[in-house]
Amino acid sequence: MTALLEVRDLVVRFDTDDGTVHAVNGISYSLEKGESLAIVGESGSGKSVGALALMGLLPRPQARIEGGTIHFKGRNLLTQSGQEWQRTRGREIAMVYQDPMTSLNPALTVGQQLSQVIRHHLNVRKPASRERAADLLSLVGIPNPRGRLDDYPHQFSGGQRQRVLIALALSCDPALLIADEPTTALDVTIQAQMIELVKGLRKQLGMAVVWITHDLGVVAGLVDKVAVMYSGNMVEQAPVHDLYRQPAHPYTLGLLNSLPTLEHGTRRLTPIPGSPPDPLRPATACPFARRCAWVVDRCRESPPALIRVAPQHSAACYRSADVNRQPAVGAQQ
Amino acid sequence: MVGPYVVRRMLQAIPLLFGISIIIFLMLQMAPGGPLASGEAQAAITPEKIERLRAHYGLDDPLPIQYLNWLGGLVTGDWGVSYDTGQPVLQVITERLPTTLALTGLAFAVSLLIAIPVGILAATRQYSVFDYASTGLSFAGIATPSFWFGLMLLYLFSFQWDLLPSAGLTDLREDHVGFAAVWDRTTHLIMPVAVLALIATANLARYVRASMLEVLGQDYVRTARGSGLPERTVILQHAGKNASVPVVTIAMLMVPELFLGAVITETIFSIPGMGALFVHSAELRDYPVLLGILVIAAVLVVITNLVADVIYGLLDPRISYE
Repeated sequence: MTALLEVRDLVVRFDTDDGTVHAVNGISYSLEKGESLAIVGESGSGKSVGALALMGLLPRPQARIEGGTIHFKGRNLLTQSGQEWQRTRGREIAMVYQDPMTSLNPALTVGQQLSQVIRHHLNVRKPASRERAADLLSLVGIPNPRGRLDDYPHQFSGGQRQRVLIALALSCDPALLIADEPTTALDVTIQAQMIELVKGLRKQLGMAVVWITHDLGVVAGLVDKVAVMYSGNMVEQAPVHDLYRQPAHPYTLGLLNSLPTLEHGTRRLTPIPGSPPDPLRPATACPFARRCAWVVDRCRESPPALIRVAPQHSAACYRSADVNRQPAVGAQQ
Repeated sequence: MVGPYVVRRMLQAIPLLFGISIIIFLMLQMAPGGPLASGEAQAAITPEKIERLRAHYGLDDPLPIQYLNWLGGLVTGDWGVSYDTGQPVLQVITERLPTTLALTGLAFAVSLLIAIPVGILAATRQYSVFDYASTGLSFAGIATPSFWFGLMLLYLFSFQWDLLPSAGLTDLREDHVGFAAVWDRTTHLIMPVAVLALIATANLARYVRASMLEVLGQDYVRTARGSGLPERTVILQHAGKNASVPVVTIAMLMVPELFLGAVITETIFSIPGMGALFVHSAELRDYPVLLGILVIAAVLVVITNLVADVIYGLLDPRISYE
């Protein structure tokens, strides 16, 4: 049986005035039907670029997909025509965007925006599409859904707008939902609500979810597996509990150590020193070498490949076996 | 709601128009010469006769009295009589207003019909050959003086190639009927409308392009695209509706500009409209006619601004009339 989503060696470059930005350098992962994956990384790690590539929404002409394949339900999305993309986007793969304040059209009512997409994909008439739009608003927990269809986005709060965006993404029962940091623009109590909402909807609707975030803290109870990205590379991939218990890459360990924990109230958080390498220069060494406490000569000579360290667990580090023996601070006891 | 808002704005326009009327009245008086200057230069007209004329038109009253007399007439529908022809000003103007309004309206429509598609196409194909070509042509259009453009058109299409009539609105030698009359009118209007529309089209195309480019980069356009909507819907509906808000202001402000631009156009093509009347009256210092035309222009500015604000509210739901 083929996977629902199979990304192989995806390479994305950006042409800028300063030169070529190596945004994504050959990442691979796969996702089964109904499975959920978190892609974790800091700003500029390439996680959002990788997600936009899945939607065929990379900014043109600056962005180029240099190599690799994205297979979805067995077909290669990267060779799709514009027409085929229009049938894929919103219908089979849908996305929830980062900023709910700017991602809805201010000049169209919420009902128009929802029912337009429903009519386009599901080929139903206007009353039926409005009916479904109201059902979707109620599904994402907006009170008085029917009455709010004729409201404009500015009449909704930030959290409600994010709910509307989620409703929009779910409007045609996609098999894959990409959530690109959907909580960053919201305050913390709303963040938790959104996470619970997506978690619940995922179970209810049985869709696969790619959750993109910079916050390793939010993914623990949310996804089946985690991929960690650093400087355009995938540095570690593991089932979520293995990753927390036995990280095999120094960067992942660093991320875990910089998370606050409730058990160690007085522990100082340990930041990762330094900053990521310049994405304008292609990597000739391990991209994390300059910030790494575990660095050896070999790391500076050639970048390590992603290799298996345990069943379903792989890391791109020459010393992953050593790192792996060192449990994260938060999980020490 | 829109109704009370429009009424409120109209009431607010009254003091504004009042102020404008004082300014234009004083500005005209400040211009050198006067309605009787040409008479004073002629030996055949005696100083006593000049004095009588001056008294007859009330030109020897103090300025505030002259102004109040004129203002009183303005609001009661008596706009005075032309010093030149002795006809009532309101009649002279209403005879010619339709021609100029038609010319302005046609030029405005042509500008919109050309500038909007060109601007949208240029924005959606940024840095393409079409974008560069339309940008180049727009700048050329903005930089071209309309009197020169008009003369060039006349020279080429009328005198060199004899394709289009050079003057007037109709062929005075023949009485055309039916389709021939329409065709006759059309051929007479092509060049004046082209001259009048040139700068407005060029300007508007730049604004449409800039406004579209700004909107196309917005997150909600990506959302629309990411929902799988056809590119046409994304561009025209999701981007277009938002991009049109700033364009509406610019476009509506262009209407009075076009109206005043008709002065030059009508002079070049000998069209009997307000423009030609204005030039003629200015030469004679025919104050009542000049003031009448300026008042109409001022009212036009107020109306187009109001229309722009009303259209705003229809396009952008965040604007309320409360």
